[in-house]
Amino acid sequence: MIQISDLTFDYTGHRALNQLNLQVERGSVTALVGANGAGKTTLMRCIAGLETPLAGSITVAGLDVQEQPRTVHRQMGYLSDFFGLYQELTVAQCLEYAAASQGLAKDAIADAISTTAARLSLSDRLGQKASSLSRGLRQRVAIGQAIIHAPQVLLLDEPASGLDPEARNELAILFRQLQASGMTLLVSSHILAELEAYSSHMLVLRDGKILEHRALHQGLASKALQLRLASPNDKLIEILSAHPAINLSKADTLHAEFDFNGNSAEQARLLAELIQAGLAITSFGEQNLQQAYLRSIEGGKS
Amino acid sequence: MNPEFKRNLWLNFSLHRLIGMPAILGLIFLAVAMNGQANHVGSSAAMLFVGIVWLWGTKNAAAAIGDEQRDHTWDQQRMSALSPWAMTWGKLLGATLFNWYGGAICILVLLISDLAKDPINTLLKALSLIAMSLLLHGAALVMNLQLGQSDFAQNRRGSFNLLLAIPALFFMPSVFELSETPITWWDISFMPLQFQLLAGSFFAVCSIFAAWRLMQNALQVRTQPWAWPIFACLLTAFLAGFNHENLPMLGLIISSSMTYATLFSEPNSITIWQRIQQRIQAKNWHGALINLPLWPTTLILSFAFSLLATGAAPSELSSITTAPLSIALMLLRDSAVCVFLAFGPKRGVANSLLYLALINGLLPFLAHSSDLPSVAYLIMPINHPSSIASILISAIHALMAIALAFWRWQALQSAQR
Repeated sequence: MIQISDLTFDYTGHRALNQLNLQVERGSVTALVGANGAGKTTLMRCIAGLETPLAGSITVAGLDVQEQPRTVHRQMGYLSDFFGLYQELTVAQCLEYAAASQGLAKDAIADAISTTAARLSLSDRLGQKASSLSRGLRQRVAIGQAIIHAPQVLLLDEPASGLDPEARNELAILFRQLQASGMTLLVSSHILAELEAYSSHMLVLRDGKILEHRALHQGLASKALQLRLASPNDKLIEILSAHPAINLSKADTLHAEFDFNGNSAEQARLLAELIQAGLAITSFGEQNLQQAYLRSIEGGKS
Repeated sequence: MNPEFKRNLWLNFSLHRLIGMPAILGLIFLAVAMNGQANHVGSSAAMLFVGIVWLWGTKNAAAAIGDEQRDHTWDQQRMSALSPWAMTWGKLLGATLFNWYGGAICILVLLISDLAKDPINTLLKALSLIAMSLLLHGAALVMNLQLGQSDFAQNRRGSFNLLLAIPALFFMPSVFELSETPITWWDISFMPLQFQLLAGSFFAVCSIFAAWRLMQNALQVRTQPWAWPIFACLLTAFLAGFNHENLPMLGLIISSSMTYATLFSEPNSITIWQRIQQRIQAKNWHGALINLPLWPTTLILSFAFSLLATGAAPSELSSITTAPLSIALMLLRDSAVCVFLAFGPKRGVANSLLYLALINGLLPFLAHSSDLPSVAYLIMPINHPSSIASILISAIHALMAIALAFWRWQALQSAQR
């Protein structure tokens, strides 16, 4: 859905994106993670056609962003990290303006407003002014403006910042619904636990380069697992290293992280084998996004 | 309905404002009439129009861009499907709609009050007021779209809108004092109001056209830089209508001024020039042209005018210098100095203004004050008695500045590799 080739973007005295090559699958939700200044926002703005790169090309749904930015915009929704709303307009007016300015036909606008409002649980807020809404509701209105024209691609820069846990959960449910409807999402956030709830892929950026881009739930392919023992055991590393399906990445006498080649049944058998080998396991399972991210970063540093 | 216009309609009109404007204006006109000044109702209406539409309306037109950038809604607009023209007129008329509402009442009162007494002048005055309003509103959009690309901080851009008071003050007297002295332009005689209407309409069209071009760029419909030098030629032709003794010299002054205006209001960072270099290397000439800043176009035009002026007959204007080519060369030097500073890490515009004021003003003044004319001519060779010396020294200045800019370009290029 999104194809990026040799993308380079410079700010004065600083290379923000360095020869990025990337392919984002249709219908995926890609978590875009990285430290501050890694290039996440610049990458999103380049994909959105809001910034002109130094070199390289970006195509969205087969359209070149630099050659046909306006056509690409019709296929795309974008929520910037510092989004704004027209404070003195009601929620309905905000959505109507977004729909009309995205070129929706006059007779389709009312339907689009009610569908979007229902999707974002804003139906009972349509008459309220944007200035009177809470942070979470404002965020929803901004997302509503970005999706009202049913784009194929949705770019969201820090969509959950400042939201309470309940609002974040609602956002995760919404993103899963959007993915289920066929939309491709690229979401950047510092809150990795939140991204984990709905992301299918992880893209790690560091100093303008791609450190890792992979699917998070890969079925039969390699899984990143971790285990923790009740008390230190000197044999932990030895036992794990001896297993043919395990590729150990980090371990000490109490805790281990490793890649495991096998399906869920084989994973269950592995657990049984490890317990049988005398390991007092207190936790065993797939690494969360936070651990996967830190592992990528550490791998990148080494 | 244009969504941008409709959004402004929602924001600008409430029942309170709809009733408030005619009520307040009605009370003012009543007060003027009851004060025994019934003859002055028409001029009061014109004065109120100036306040409501020219001044307040221009402020609102400027805010139509500035507020979007400040409130972070500009990206949403840039990604909308609205055409640049729809966005331009939606903002131009939408942001000033309430002012036009008040202005329409003032025009109506002006016509009712004065039309019977002096129908032609009253009509010309009403149309002039409208044309000037469009000119000012269009210019406000242009200025804010242009400054939006620059590295001027958002809160400092507002003060540049005060520059719009210059055309307003220039045209204002003729609205209130009807002069009978005709204006001669290209040997054609015009009545002042008639000329103001024609000139105001012409520049209103130019300002709206410029706003549309800049809106195209903001909305990712990138344009090639031909309109700016053409406007320099049109402005030259317009001003030469008053005195066309040395048209090329006038053209040189105008295109030089326009070069400085864009030098300070456009981004000139190394990334822009690297982008152009990349496109030239890829033989993507269209890509290179749409990324090119505007100032090189009027810089080239300045050289063309300077060559024409060199061969032209002497006139009042040509007494400024013995060698027009040295003006163009010094402009090239200043452009290279600006580029050199823009490639640096600090704020390029502020530094450029400071250093140009220093090398073009303070240092030559100090040299003159110290009775060191030869040093003064070395620093500012434009007024050198010898044309050849003037050109040679200016060329050395330009070469040194270009070498500096090139040196920094290469240093930055190698640092990034």
